[in-house]
Amino acid sequence: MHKKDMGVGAVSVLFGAWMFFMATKLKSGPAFWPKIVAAGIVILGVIIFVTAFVKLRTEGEPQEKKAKAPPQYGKVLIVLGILIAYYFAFQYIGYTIPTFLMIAGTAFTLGYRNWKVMIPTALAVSICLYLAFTQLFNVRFPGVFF
Amino acid sequence: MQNILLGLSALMQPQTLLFLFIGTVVGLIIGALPGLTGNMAIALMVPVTFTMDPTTGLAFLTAIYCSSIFGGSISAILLGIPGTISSFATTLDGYPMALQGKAGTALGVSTLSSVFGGVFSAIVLMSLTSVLAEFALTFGPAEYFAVAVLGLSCIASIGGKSISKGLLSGFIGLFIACIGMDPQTGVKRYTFGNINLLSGVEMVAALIGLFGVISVLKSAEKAKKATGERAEEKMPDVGSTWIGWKMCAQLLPTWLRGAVIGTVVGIIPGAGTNVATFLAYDTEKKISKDGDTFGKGNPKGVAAPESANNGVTGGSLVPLLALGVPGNATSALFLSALMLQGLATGPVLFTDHADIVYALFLAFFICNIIMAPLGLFLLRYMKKILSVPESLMGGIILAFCVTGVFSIATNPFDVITVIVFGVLGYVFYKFDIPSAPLIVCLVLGSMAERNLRQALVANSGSYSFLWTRPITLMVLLISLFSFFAPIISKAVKSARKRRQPNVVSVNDMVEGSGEELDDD
Repeated sequence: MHKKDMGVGAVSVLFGAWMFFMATKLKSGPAFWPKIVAAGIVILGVIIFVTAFVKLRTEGEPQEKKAKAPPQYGKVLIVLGILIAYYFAFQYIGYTIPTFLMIAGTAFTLGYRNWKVMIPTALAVSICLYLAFTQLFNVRFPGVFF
Repeated sequence: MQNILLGLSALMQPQTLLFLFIGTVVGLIIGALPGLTGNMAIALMVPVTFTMDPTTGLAFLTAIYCSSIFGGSISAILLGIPGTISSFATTLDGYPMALQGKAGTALGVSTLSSVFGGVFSAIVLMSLTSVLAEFALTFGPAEYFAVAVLGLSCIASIGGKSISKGLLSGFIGLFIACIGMDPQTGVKRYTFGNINLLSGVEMVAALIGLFGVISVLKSAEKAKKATGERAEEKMPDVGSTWIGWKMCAQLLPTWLRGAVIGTVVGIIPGAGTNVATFLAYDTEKKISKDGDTFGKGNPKGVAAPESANNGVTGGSLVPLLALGVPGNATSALFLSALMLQGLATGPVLFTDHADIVYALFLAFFICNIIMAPLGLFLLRYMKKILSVPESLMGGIILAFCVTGVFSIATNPFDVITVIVFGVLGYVFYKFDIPSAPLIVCLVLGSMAERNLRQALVANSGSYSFLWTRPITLMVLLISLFSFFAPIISKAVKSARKRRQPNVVSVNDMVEGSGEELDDD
């Protein structure tokens, strides 16, 4: 916990320093506000780092509460992967097919296994969204297929 | 009066009323589903409102806002799981009541309390906002800078557990607000040569990432195989929900106290629903003669937080509509909807579009009133609705996020923004950094910068306007107070705790109410 916070503090200091450095390249007018913000980030980073460091020295690392199950970062990455794949797919393939695959794929990744419900739901949602956005809201989707 | 009629005529269009109705149903369902918040529903629907006329769009969002907060109490009572974090306090007495076979009574109490709180706050919103806005019409850049600082100073209190982390989140929001062309000179800042970033980060896309994508990532993290049965078996029977006039009369003082607490807390930027509900619950527990039965199924323990959380709804829009400053994440979402429509926010909204503002007020009244029969009607299908698993919803939410954001400008880059902000929100969540301050500062950042620089130009570079203009000075002093108050009160509390370790304060309850606290 405290070690994590020390990381947050350190990253903030680096980030704020980078932001300040970038601002020095600008003229004084546009650089004015970003410099204030960057200084704030650096100061907060130092405060967070020092507080966490002091707490770590005085209290030690607190016992993490035993979680029921460890977080499944793999699944988080898969969902993000699906989203990024979708970003490319809907621009070149079209709307409905990638959307259907995204809904079904995400539900599967999240652990849903009832195919009889999943397939019709994904189909219905992707087709309804397509019709609603193209017909009601006059949006044109890119891609080859509808 | 003329304005009210103007608003009424704007609202009484078949399409507007239809969307008011749909919004109420959507809000109730999403609010009731644990894991899905009203803010997420509003974020997903903001792009859809883009295609509507402003009155319909805002009425739609208002309906989702009010009814999602009420909807949260349904699962709080029936399952003991708050549907939204704002109904966490409701579980304390609502769930025990349901276990005692009084689920119907508990739902009846929560329905009437929500309606009472909502209508009360709508009255306050309507009367207070127009007065404040008229006053604010005299504001210049110096005053607006001070008001923006007031909004920013409140982030210290939305921060949750750690004030410094809350502030850090806020400052990162300010950094993101810097991206794009400088408002005065047009110089590019932090755009990395990307033309899509010239006009800044698309706010709606950022909000959808922070509210929508993150909820799916959170459920991915704790995903397990499920086939669809979740809550159906253990849900108690509801029975009659009418609580009788006698009980209404008994609960009236509780409702009034809850509604006042909720509305006042709602107006204070940064305070939020969870503070209001616990404050109302705690106050009621202390005032009541039967305070010791709180937590064991006392109807007052349901009435107080439920009237308070719907009281917040109207109150939280006061600073936004009167001054153009959002006090919490929800009003930041409303602001983004207003900006999407191309409407100027702040007091000019009143002079330019009185019909829209008054239609928004009236939408508050109407949705709070239709919420009660609709909620009670939907209860029959609640078992089915609550059995929809989060895993199936995940994909649908993503589809809404992406489609909605793409439809605004048909720019694929906005989809990238959604993904980036989803990841950012998730990283914040993993490192216990609240995301609400980021959202508020993202919105307020350019307002603060623009007005400060304009005021400096008008004063030929001198900072004297900070203390020579009375309103500016006053607002800045209030900001200083609101900035240091939570820090001081925290220090006092921890000092007191060291002396009497057994006292549990409201803040401890708020902090104990779960990891997803900053969702509101």
